Amino acid sequence: MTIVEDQRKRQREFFTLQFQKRLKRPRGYSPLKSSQARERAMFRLLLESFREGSSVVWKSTFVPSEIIYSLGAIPLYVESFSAVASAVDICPPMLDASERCGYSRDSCTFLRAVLGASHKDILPRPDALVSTSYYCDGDPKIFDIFAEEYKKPHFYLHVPYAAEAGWAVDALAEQLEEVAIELAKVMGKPFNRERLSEIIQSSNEARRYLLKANELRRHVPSPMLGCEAIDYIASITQLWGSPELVRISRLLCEELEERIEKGVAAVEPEQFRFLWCHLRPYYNDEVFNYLEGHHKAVVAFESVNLITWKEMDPGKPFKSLAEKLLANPAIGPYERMTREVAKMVKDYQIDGIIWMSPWGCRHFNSMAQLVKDGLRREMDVPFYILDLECIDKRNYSKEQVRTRLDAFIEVLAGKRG
Amino acid sequence: MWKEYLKDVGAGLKPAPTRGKIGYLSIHVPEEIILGAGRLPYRLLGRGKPVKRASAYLPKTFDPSVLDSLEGAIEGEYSFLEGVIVANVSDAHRRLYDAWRVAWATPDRGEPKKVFFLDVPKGADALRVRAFSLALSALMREMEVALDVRISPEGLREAIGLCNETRILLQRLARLRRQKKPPLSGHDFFDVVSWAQRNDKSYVNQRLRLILQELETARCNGAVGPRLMLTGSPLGSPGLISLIERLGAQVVCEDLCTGMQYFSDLVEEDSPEPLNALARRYLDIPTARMADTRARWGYLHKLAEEYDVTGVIYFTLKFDDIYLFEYPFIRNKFQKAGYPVLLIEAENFLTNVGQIETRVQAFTEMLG
Ligand code: SF4
Repeated sequence: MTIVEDQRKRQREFFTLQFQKRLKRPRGYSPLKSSQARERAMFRLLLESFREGSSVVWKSTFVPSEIIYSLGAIPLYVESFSAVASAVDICPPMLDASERCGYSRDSCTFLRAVLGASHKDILPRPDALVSTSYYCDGDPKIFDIFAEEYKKPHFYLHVPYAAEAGWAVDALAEQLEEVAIELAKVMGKPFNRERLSEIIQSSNEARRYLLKANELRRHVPSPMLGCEAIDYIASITQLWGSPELVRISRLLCEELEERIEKGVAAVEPEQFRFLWCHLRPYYNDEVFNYLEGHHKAVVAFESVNLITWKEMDPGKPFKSLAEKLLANPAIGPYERMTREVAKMVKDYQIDGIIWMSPWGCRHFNSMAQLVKDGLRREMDVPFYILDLECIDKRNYSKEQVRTRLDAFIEVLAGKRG
Repeated sequence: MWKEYLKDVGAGLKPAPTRGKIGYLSIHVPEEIILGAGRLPYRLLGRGKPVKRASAYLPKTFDPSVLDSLEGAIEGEYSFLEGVIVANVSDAHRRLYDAWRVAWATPDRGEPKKVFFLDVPKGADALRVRAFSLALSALMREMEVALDVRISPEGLREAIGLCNETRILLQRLARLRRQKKPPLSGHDFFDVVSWAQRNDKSYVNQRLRLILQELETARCNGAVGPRLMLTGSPLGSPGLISLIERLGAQVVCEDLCTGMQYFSDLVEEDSPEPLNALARRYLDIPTARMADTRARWGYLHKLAEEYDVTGVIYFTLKFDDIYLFEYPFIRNKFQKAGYPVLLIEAENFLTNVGQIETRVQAFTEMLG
């Protein structure tokens, strides 16, 4: 089925409308200009991908968007599409559609929402698809199914589990180069190495600002709410390699510096400092508002904003990108993640950890207890595994979540004495 | 009579030699490497009992066969093993590697055993084969150190020959089920494959030859109900197959890692690089975890045609994402090709037997 420009135009208009509603929604806080710019950039990217003549590459979490930008294409990060869809409240019919197709309610809603959206044909159509073995099994599987349905090529990257083994970087770099060359063929143009090197430089620049922002967020009291910070997902955002990310991250640093200078705290008086692990509920801000607004317990940092890779070498783009991917602590044995969590606890003077565990996520859920126990052997920091859905609001119960958070806050208060 | 050959003693034959055993869970683990290390590969097929203590390590919303394996490790049921190889075949398995290490390192569980890890790509093209060869050689080095052995290319070649022979014999046995009246049931076949995965290969080959001698000349009588294919998540025991066959149908082929996938292809024997030959063969197994749905559908369709099935039962374990995500696509393909499909979702062992029975019965009646 070929989608005609008229339909694409209607999809664009639909999303524009939803986005405008989203921007105008009442919030419990006044967002930073950088956060608003980030939100606009994400929507612009989505709208661009509907435009006639745009080349769109569907990607899963670990696929470096730098490669896609270097080809003049737009990355559609499918899990992120689900998050946006949930935020503008169009997910329930997408999930219903996926269930009607036979997808189990026990599986990940990020992926099921995209499957439902594809079934309803409300997604920008791909020119090619690229998935990786990380984070989870679902990605390569559904990408392959999409490739069959859209009759487009699917490229798969195997990210070695033994991220620290000597051979891992080369094995991944070779695959990244192969994917870049194959994607260029799909786009009908030669692969331009210089362009990728320029994009790597831009990615490096954004990295420097975001690292600085992460440093600034160590300040007590915290200059930024976790509620808005978590949406940056600095470790995995598809804005890496775009000029927007440089502008947004520079602005973020300026705003945080200004807040610190003026003594503006995200919550006052700051009672507790939390580390938030994994993603968030996208359908509302209630959990964060309750923690940060009601309990004055700021989410001082989030694992998804962690930047663990070193500056990339524009002269060796594939090797550098491979190193970037492999530096992610979610790869490999749980001890890697435990180590990083322990470091974040110290760096951000954390009082308690909330590890969000959506029902259908096998990757992060499966690590929760192991990291909790591993951490207990190293430090005494309360750790709460919060069962909560990221995308699907259909079973959300405000009271239940509040009761659980109250209980955890009591533990922290008791510990403080 | 042929079933006597599956027993360690009896039938006038020598019992299998005893050797140190290395357990493995996935069929993407090359048994040849274990044999090359002078050990006996021992496939862990699960205990089929409720899980209690494993939930202290891993979430309840997790592949039940993985939780089952972990429970066995905690309960000391695998203490006869020298070690175990866990492969990165799914999110659940790679986390099992973590949990198993933690569980076996607990002081009250005796001498800690070695838990090895093998990374397995989901693609079978040149770069993924190279990555897998590197992972295999890392595993070999680790095993050499831990077991204080040397795994030589000659040892690997010899093991390849031995395992290929098992595969050829099992392929011959499987082909007997293409007959209008197969000489063995799906349940029997499952038992033979499980047994072959847990015993000394020379001994298995010798006995398989005897089994074939008997079954290839057997004359079969009696009616045969609808011919079914069983596909989906790993089955640790033949419980579901028995249930289906008790209701009058016959499972004539199964796309299961505990069934025909185990011997799907041969390893190239005269390759100058035995490790590469192993990497190629073990990535070519058409399991659902591989990211080549087109090839997988081609394989399933061919199987359905060759074994002349009239319907397909798709089994998924709860929370086994690979199958949960694959199912609607494969179901649609089968239905378009004219094969009715029944989905059965269950725990590692059959708890809701009554309900499953009713559904299977309705399905087989519909197939006539
Ligand atoms: S939430 Fe978990 S299961 Fe879902 S896409 Fe992310 S890592 Fe995969």
